[in-house]
Amino acid sequence: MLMQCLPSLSFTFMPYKRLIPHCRDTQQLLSQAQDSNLPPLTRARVRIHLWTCTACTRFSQQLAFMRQAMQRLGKD
Amino acid sequence: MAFDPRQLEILRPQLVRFAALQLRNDALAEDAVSETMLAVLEHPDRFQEQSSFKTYVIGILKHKLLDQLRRGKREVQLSIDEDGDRSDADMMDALFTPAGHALEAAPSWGNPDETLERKEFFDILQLCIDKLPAKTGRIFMMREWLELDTDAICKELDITAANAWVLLHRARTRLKECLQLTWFGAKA
Repeated sequence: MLMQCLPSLSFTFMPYKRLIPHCRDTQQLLSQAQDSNLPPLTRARVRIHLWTCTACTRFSQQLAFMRQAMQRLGKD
Repeated sequence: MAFDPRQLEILRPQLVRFAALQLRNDALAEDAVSETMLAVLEHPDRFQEQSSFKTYVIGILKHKLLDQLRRGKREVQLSIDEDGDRSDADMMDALFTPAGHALEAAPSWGNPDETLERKEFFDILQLCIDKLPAKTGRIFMMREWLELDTDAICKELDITAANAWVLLHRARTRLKECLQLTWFGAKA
């Protein structure tokens, strides 16, 4: 049974959020992972979402690509 | 001298452009670039060819920009980018259903290395960065170009980590949409 989803004010409180995050929250978390380490349980929940979501899997690849591109920007 | 001073002059327009993106103020950008060029010319032996000349000069510019950011902190906080905030929120709403599902999966972007070999791609990337609303563009450059970590960004901008992460997500999403439109989607 899925738990009630509260409006997302902060991504650091996970207990009352839905068990598997939806795309919007997943993509926020994927982006956040580029800036700080996600707690292990959160990482696991994101991974589960990615198993069955092409859109978010793509987004994850796009994030990695953009980071690579930025590292090369302005360097020869 | 390990470099030709004319190389420096050739770099100037690009340096000014980078600086202007970060500082959103042409005069301050020019100052930062002038200080950078002076620093390079006054200490020619510091460039030991451990990296390319351009990388070396940009490294110095980054320090000057950080100094400027710290100096100008108060002025920057007075300008509230309301339109940017609203349009960011609109953009996020447009990409997801009310239940939070992604509306569509973008097509694959193919082989990253191939794309990153193309100079035209970096021109497009620069244009997309230029198009970011002021607040999102600024934090994005602080993170991805100046390579400040979350703590440093939060101190500079006086915002919470959660706030920073939301802004960075918006920047990346907007950038992704722009690249999809102007580069990846544009090649049929």
